[in-house]
Amino acid sequence: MVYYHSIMKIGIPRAGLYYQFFPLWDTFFKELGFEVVYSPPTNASLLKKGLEYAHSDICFPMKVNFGHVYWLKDKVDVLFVPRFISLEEKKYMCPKFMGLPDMLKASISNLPPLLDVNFNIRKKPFIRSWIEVGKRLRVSANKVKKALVKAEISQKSYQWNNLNGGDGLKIGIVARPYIIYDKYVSAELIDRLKEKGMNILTADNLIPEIINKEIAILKKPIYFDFGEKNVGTALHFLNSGEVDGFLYLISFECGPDSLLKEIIDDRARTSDIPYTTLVLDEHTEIAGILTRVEAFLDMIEYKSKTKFNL
Amino acid sequence: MIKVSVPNMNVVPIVVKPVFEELGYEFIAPPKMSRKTIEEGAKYAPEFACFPLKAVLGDFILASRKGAEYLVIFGGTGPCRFGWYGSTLQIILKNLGIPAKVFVLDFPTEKWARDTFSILGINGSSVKKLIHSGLIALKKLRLIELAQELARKIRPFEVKIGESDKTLQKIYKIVDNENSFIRLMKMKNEIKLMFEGINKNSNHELIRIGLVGELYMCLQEELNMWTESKLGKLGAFVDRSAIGLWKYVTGDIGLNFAHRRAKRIAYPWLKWHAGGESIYSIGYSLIFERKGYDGVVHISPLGCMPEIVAQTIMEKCVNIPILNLVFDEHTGETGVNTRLEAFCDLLKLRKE
Ligand code: SF4
Ligand code: SF4
Repeated sequence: MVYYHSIMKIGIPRAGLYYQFFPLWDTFFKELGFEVVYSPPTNASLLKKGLEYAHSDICFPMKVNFGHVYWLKDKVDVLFVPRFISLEEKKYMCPKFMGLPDMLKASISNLPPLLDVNFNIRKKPFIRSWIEVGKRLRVSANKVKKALVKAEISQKSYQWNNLNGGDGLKIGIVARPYIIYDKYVSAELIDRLKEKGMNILTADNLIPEIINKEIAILKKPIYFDFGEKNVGTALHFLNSGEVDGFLYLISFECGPDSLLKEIIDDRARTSDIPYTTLVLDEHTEIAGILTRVEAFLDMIEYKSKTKFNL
Repeated sequence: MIKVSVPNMNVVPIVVKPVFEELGYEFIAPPKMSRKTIEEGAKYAPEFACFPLKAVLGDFILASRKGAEYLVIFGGTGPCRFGWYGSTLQIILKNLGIPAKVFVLDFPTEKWARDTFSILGINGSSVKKLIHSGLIALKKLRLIELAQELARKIRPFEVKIGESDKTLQKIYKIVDNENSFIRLMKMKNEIKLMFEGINKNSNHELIRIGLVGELYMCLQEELNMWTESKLGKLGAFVDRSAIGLWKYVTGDIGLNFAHRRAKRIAYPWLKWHAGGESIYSIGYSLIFERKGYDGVVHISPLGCMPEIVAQTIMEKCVNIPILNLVFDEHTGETGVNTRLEAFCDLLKLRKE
């Protein structure tokens, strides 16, 4: 084992569930005294490496993920790429996350050791996974527990999407965290719309009770992680009229979203909240996305004007 | 009588028919899968849905046109998309104005299980019938899988090309029409004799190919363009021990030792079974390599999540040639033929 002492550098790819757990991970490793190295925000050259090393049929976010790992591989002593199996009771992550560490090992040579600990809440609480992470880093369980308390506080208090509260249009955006908060992947949509004075609402601005209420109408519970959150948010937007319109961003080749979209489409047929889906992949031109978003906004404005005139 | 149907999945309609009939339903076999099925399905399914969903949708649309009122499909709770097929199909059919109800055999909650049984009319008094018909169904499955196994062995040697396929079709019919358990028990020898009657020439060298991949695509010949049978006719012995319905049923509950072994062998490369057949695709490919096989054919539908994981890893860890065949509704048969021929030529060359 190469694990020496506390100034060891831990690499965290700025991809995947970084966009869900970044505050927790950051605090956790820093509390334990490690140096944390992040890959830079996604950019074209990083993506290029991802495209080179990842399977050509895999989804866009995974290709991005490969690019980040490639960037980090020679700069750190160990890479934090856990195996996410299940984040919520009775749910599963997508199979690609389950196989991510193994895929990386098979595709990129000369990787530093991976902290590929299983995170599977169906089998054991996360704290046990963290203790295992600690064990591999030669840190005692006690220290891990202490660090985790602080880490959880920063996770809870982190604001993923700040509301700006003006009286511009209210636009909802529904997407998986690594799509919506990765500025490169989402063509900086949130920032661009905010600049125009619009209010952006994401799933992170809704309290769980709202989402759960919407989800209750489904006969069979959705078993994909993020599935209920996204579908629930979309249904809430469609049912409550809290937004003037919303965008659903999905990745080309995203398995779960390709099916979950049907639920949203189905409800949207009988709702008059404007809604559109943007399918993103490595070939999407930003200009193309922006044109579509503009057309969508025009439609909303046209609609709300006619509404006011009535 | 209420009319039920199930999707085509190799011989599933033949196998489950006695069970539904015993429960007092009229069983409507879905039309044999064809271009039409695929086109209907692809037209109305979500664009990025996996290919099996499109094919099943096609089956359901055609079956409902034949009058089916209940469309039965298995469920599941992940990790892959299959468990969500039922819900998606129901939404699509509803929006097409098709009144048929998608019935998911699925037990996520206790209440769900109770409802399922009561809707299907399963209660104390029908349990005996159910067991009886279940045994018939299993027997039929075993007989058919035996016949398929024999066909795989004989195909590379047949004098008149295509004869084992014809025999196989004949056997499907016979098994489908036979409902007496006693006579089914005696059928094994009959099937063996039928295959022994095929003229063989034994003097040419075999190449041996292992077949792995996503279950449905491997079994549904019309979707994989008869890969298995074509490989046989090209002079290859195809080992399909990695995939089969019986294997699926027993493997799923951990009763299949070969499956367990494959999992163990794949473990250093994939430390968690990522759904579908991912870990088995890797494990069996490694087993085939150890057995000295000449190559592996990997079949999957476009965008299949577990199989992409498997493919990525197999590229690294399997040291015999792999042919990846990825299918969707646009795949053309000639392209597949060319690739199969080229692959067999390559393997033959390597052998010399
Ligand atoms: S959930 Fe979708 S986008 Fe995320 S890794 Fe899986 S397929 Fe890719
Ligand atoms: S295993 Fe592949 S084909 Fe089957 S549901 Fe999953 S993604 Fe679709």
